[in-house]
Amino acid sequence: MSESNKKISLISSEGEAFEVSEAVAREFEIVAHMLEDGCSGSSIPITTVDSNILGKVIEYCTKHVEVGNVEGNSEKAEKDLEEFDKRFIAVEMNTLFSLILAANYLNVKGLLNIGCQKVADTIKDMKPEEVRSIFNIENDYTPAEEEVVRKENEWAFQP
Amino acid sequence: MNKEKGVNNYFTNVNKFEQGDRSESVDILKSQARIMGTIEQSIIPGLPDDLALRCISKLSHGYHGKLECVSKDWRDLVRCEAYSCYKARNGWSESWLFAHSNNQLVAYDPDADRWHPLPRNEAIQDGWDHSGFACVCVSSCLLVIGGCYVSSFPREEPFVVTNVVMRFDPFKKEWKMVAGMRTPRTRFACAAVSGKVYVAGGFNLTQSS
Repeated sequence: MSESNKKISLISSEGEAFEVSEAVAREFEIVAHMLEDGCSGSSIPITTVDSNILGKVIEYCTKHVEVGNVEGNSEKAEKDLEEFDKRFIAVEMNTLFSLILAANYLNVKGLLNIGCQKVADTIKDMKPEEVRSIFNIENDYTPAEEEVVRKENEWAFQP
Repeated sequence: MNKEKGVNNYFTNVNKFEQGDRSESVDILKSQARIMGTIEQSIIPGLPDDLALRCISKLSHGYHGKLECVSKDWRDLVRCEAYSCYKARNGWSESWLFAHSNNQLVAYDPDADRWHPLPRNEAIQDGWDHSGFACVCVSSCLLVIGGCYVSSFPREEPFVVTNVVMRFDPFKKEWKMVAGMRTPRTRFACAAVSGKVYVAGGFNLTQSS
């Protein structure tokens, strides 16, 4: 399709314009729907996502579109993409949350998925008190109550 | 009678499939938890609850104990019935392997790569080995059905065939005796079809010495 060369501007909350190909923009399902609904404007405001995060989401989508377009050697490409995802999502918690929020709003399913998975993986490797501190969760157990719930779940703390 | 000390393996889906209303949303899940007087603050500060839930749901059942220790909100969320339905509906539930050996059931969580010993099944008394039973998994629970208690040392009644059905709930981590079969049976056929358990054949002769 000739349309695939079309450029679209995505405008961040600060008003910064990011020019991307239509194929990349379509990775944002919210944008894809707009385009299908005949929203023909070449610039689309993404008012809830700031430049830093929007840039990252575009980086993610661009990579996935590129790899999706390459024919042949799919196994290697898949591995590379996995590696990319891993590196891409290794960010500090605040950024991770922002990425999840943006991926959810823009409806980028792959990114939402690896973002949520990253949060889950972080929890996996932590003790409950570490989970509380990294996510800022109040410990509302009394020491006695905590003892009970820990006893019940002793099996969860085996090495 | 020969003692059967083999290892029996069963795969089960820990979470519920095809249960509950498919339109049930995160909101309902949350309101259910709220009605229970639980979730007061957000599950993970900084994330809307639906996204926090999505993150937590990616942890396999083997980690639920850890989640429960974080806070009361997390405990009540994980124990909430709707939570397991939510996980299952999104295809985020996982399978566990149950293995039985020497009266002890252990569960393997492939995702966590970890074995969990199950609490003792009170139906099996000391000095007896349980064999010839059947296991099936229905609606997120493991059922241990019937079988034969074989005395580990000589006594008047060397073995007893039973109709007892025990249910293990991986979320509550407890055994419960449920309605027994009409007849005792051991070494019988058993299957779960569409959430219903069928048993067929087997033996129920109680041998007296």
